[in-house]
Amino acid sequence: MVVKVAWTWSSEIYDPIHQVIPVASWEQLVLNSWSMRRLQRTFQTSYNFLALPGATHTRYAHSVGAMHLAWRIYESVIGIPVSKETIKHAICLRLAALLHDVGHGPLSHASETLMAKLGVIKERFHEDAARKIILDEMNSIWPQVAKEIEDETKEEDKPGHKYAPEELTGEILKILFDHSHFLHQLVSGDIDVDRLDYLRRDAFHTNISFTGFDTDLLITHLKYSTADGFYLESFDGIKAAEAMLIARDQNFSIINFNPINRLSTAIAERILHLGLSTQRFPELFEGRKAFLRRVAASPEQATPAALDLDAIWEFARKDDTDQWNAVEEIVQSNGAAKYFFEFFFKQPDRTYFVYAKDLHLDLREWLGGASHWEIAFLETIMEKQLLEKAKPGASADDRSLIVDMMPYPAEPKYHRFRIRHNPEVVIGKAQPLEDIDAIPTVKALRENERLAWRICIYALDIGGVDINKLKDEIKHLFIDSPLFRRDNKHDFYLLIKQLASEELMSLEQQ
Amino acid sequence: MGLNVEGTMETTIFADPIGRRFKLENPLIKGIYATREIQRLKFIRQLGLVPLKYPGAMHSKFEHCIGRLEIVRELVDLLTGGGNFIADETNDKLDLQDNDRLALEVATFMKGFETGPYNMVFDNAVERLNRVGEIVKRADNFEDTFSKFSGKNLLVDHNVIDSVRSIIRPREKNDKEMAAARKYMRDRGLDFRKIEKIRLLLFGPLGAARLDFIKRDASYTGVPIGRFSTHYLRGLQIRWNKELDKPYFALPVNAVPMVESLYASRFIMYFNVYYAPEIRVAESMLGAAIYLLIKQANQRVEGLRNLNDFQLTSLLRTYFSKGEKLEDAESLVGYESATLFEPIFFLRTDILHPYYRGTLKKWATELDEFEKQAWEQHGPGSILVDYRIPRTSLMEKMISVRADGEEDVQLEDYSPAIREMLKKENTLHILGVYIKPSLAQSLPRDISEGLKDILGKVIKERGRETSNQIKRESSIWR
Repeated sequence: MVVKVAWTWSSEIYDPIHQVIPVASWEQLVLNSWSMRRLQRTFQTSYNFLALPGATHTRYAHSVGAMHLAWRIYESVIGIPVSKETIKHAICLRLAALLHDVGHGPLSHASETLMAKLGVIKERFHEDAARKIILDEMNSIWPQVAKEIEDETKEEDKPGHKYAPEELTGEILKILFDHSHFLHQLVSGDIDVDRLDYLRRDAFHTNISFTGFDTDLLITHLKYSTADGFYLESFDGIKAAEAMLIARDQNFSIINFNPINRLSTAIAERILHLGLSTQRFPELFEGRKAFLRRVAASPEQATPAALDLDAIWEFARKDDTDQWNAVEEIVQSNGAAKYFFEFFFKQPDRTYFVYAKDLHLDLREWLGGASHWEIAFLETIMEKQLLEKAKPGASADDRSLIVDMMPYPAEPKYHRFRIRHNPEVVIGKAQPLEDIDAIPTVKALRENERLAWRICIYALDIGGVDINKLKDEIKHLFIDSPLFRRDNKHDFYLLIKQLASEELMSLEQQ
Repeated sequence: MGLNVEGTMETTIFADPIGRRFKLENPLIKGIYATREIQRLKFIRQLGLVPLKYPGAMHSKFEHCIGRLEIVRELVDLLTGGGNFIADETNDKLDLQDNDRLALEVATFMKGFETGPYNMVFDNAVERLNRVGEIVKRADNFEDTFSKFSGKNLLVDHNVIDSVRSIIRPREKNDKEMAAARKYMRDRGLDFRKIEKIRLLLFGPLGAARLDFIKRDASYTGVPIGRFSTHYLRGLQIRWNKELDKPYFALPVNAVPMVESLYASRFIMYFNVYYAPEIRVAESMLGAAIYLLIKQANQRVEGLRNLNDFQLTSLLRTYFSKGEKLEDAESLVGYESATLFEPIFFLRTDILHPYYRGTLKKWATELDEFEKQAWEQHGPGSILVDYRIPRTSLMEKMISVRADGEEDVQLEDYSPAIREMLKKENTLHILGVYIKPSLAQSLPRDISEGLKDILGKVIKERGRETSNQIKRESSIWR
């Protein structure tokens, strides 16, 4: 679907989800930049391709799809841009959608979680990275983009629109990160182009077709007003939004939190962690040491070492190829890594899931604010304790149990909605969907998300493990262990202090 | 992937994007699935560098294994079940016993495990070696890898090793090879005819491999047709051609439109996907890089063939980076950031006057020599000569249309659409000369003169014109 606009489309990209996607010439410059092409070598759903063979789609294809949807929403809700200001909005919205994932590291979230677990970055690292890439790495592209825009918007009797490169990047960054920008909701909100694209793309590539929600219907009912921003007005629109939220819920539990994906990620994390001492990644090695020193000094006040971007850049700018080869290289020289590696291709002997409801604990209190590095320590402690009980006398190097804890569901970003009972009468002010009593689905979905939270225990190699003992021990550990009590966080801190000192000592000996 | 009640994982249920939900049940196939050789295929892109232009086409070779297996099961059901099968005049039924079925499924699943990284691109790189007289065939590698595979005893334990080996053996080139293959089967008590029929089901013009790859490639690239269902092939038979001593497909009249759409899909892909100029340039670059690895960095073909895409890419990055042995040819790996070589000449025979088609073969040899000299003059990998000359395949002769009460008619004769498409495909030559970006700014005199010498006036008439047109139209060069 190619619509006549203020500029001419220079080419098109064929895509299995949106079929033909028109592309403008300046977008082609961005698409061919090194930073964007790197996304072509980054799988969208991390290690999912090991379990769901079709899930080989990349961040690149997803970004192009998001750009297309952003344009479709803009054109349907606000209209075809004509003035200089609106043309800038439209152009920058497309570019912002295209660049929304540009800061992702290798294997998407997998590498970011790894860095957060090692305590070398703060949360939401990829946003800072995106800012740096747009301003520094792609620095040389923006003057060319501005020039292309000027050329392409030229008409017979009128000169083209001239924007300064800083004006463009400023606007793109505002749309991406500034909550007060009216277009921000479209790239980061409850109903944003990111979600609209990845839900459909993941569904296509995995053939798990729960995501049968109607994008067109949703876009048709999306409205905009200066007071409320983007909102859904009619009942049909809200039904479409509900369908999307259900799809998202299922996408999370079936694709993102699929056990093989979690196990593969956990294995890769452990292998890369073991490889720290081989000096494969000097920047991670130094960052980890700095962080461990803080934890060993006072775990209560420990914060991630938060290396500045430059220090971690080398690692964050790698792609899947590098990451996978790093894994394989470490495996060559490290016995424990080699042991883990076997399980990339082999299923574990036993897997147990412990769900939130089994624990009878208010997990939000404990885990709601837990950071990745705290979870990493918790996993290590549980692995040790479980192994001690299930396999008495196991050596310190025994790696036959992996504990994987899912991140606790984050608070939602609210999107505003308004119900209209018939075409004339609008009921009430636009408000978050969760607050509309007439629609209980959203509340239920939030509850669902909390219930789906689980801890996975993978018994890689059960030779010598007493299974019955293990079963009892899991229940015992979660229900009686002081580790899960809010008032006993002190014990937890004591334990991690000790663990951190041990690891620090071994790292410093290298 | 799925979960059973006890919470243990079941890794052998696949939700394949093109087919249906699919389960590996047979213990032998499960065992084969778990081998490193098959898992490696998850790391190999079926379409090589096509994702550069079609970002959706990232599907792996492994998916193709699953898809093939699904289709072959459907085909067997179609041919043997529901009383559809009618014996031909030799009364030679496709009488599949349980172990034949197992051999067929195993062969279908593991076919192609000897493939190199980036699939066909690697074979094309090896072809470059053949061009300079070092013959390295994929077939040579087959025995090696197959023996490695059978060393795992999986196939031996189930007594299917001989059948599987015969089914996926490389195609014979001449009568002598064919006689040897027959002797092999006779010695092991295998029914030659049955094996040939099974091979047809797998490799034939309507075989599982082809049906799956067309369907899959079309879906992932966004090519509009090619959604195909074996349901429409109801009534398909396999018959024996006594003269050629070969089996062939006999297609009912009402299945012809389905087959036509399949050919149309493939036809579109030949022109827009497989032979798209950007893809040809990128693949030539990768091919030349692999060639240099073998010739100058002393890597062995067999070693490289066992790598996956990630490992090969990593190796290329190491050798073609600053301060390394092949640093001069660094621009060859520019396809990673979409910095492609510039086409100074590009011809596809569909836009060339028939008069010139005959001379293409002559040009090819001269251009090889020209490339060699340019490499000596301007450094290795400075200029790339790329040509594809179609191999006329007899495969399409293996389908006939069965009209009730009448003689079988060859598909080509029955369907004018297919006839025309095949005619065009069979004359589809590609001839391109690509130069590295730093040289393209001011074309060295010896290159422009040399090219003119070889290609004469065509370069004036069509070649440069097409190259410029391609550059104008292609997004990637902008």
